[in-house]
Amino acid sequence: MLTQTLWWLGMALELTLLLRAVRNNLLKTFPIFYTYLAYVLVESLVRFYVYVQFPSFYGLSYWVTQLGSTLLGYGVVWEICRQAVARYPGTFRMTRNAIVLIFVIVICKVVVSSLTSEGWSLAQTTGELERDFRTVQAFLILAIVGLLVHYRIQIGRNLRGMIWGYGFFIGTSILNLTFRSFLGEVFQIWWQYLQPVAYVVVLLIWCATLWSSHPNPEPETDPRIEQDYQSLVAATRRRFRQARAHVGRTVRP
Amino acid sequence: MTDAISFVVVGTLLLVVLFFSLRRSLPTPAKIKDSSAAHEALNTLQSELLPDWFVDRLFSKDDWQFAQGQDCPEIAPLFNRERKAVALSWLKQTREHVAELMDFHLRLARERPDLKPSVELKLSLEYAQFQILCGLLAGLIRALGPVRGRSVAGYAVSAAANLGKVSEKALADLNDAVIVGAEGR
Repeated sequence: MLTQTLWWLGMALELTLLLRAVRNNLLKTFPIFYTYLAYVLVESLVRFYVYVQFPSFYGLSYWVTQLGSTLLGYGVVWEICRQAVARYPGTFRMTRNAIVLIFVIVICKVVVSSLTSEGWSLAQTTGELERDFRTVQAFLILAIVGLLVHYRIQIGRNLRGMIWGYGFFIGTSILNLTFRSFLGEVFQIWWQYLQPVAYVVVLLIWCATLWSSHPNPEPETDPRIEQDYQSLVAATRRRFRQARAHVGRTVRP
Repeated sequence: MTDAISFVVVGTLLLVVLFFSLRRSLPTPAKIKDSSAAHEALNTLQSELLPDWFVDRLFSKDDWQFAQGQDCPEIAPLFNRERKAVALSWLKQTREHVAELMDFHLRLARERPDLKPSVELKLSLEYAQFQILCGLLAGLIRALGPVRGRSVAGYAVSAAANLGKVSEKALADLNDAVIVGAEGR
């Protein structure tokens, strides 16, 4: 009963978010994020249909569709990166390089671990694969947040909400998937509640922060460079005058 | 088991970092707003706060021995108290100047298309080292008095001087970029 309530609540919130995005013209600003959300909504409906009509195929449909949303999640991370630092060319280049580097390193590690692991079951293997992919995303989000904080880059409420929500989702997913993989079926009873509850919290965060449009603030220092130059010239001239006066006093008999 | 722990650490770290980093939503205004102010802050740092003679004098053993050698017993504790206050104030000012320069550098660097990750990483590590040394020095000064903190002060001064040099180079680069931009117009 609780699982079904969470299921319907999740779908209602996803639909609300999509309708609000259409109304506030946010689809153009965050196209990948809303594609992801639409995919998750369709995915939930498909799963519900399979759950009711073909319960024995539910496990298969769950893990296959989950892999799709996990991969689409990379698009969300990319959108977060693009939206956050695209206006800062140097920082954008650095973030992009860091993302590519982290991605390559962690993917290599994941491939090596998968090839060397023993035993195979769809739930176990796909669950572990999802956990590994989510871990890559966690590192990418950590890198983006680290650079945002380091370079004092201000972001708008919408983007902050996206990072908060998606980061929370990734963090809780990694914890849930790790416990599931480590504890096995014992954790299944907790898993069926914890995962949807965490996802509903994520949707509530997104509803609160993406309800209306809050664009990122404009960079504050860009137009000042020319002014800087003028003040630099003024300061240099002032120092020149002081030095000239000083030299003048020194050489005067 | 080790794998499971590392995944739990990553998940928890992400949640903690998100909580602390994004909680601060208010923008922190820049203290140094243009390059002339940055040059002035750099000048103050290099000429007033970091010269060797100044640091030697501030943490001087001779002064302490002189105060101890006086007949009046109140002189030595009074000297210690006052020198401690001066040393802590010097440390605070040095830290503030370096932090302001770092803040200016970061605000400037983030918009530069030719940002060099290796330089940025080096600068960040030096800044972290400087902050740690300052924290250590402040603790030493409070616990043992200013005289015994001389060697750590030396490290902190050298770290701050390094940061000053990088900052100077960054400012020179900015000037070049601005001049090239102005010539191009």
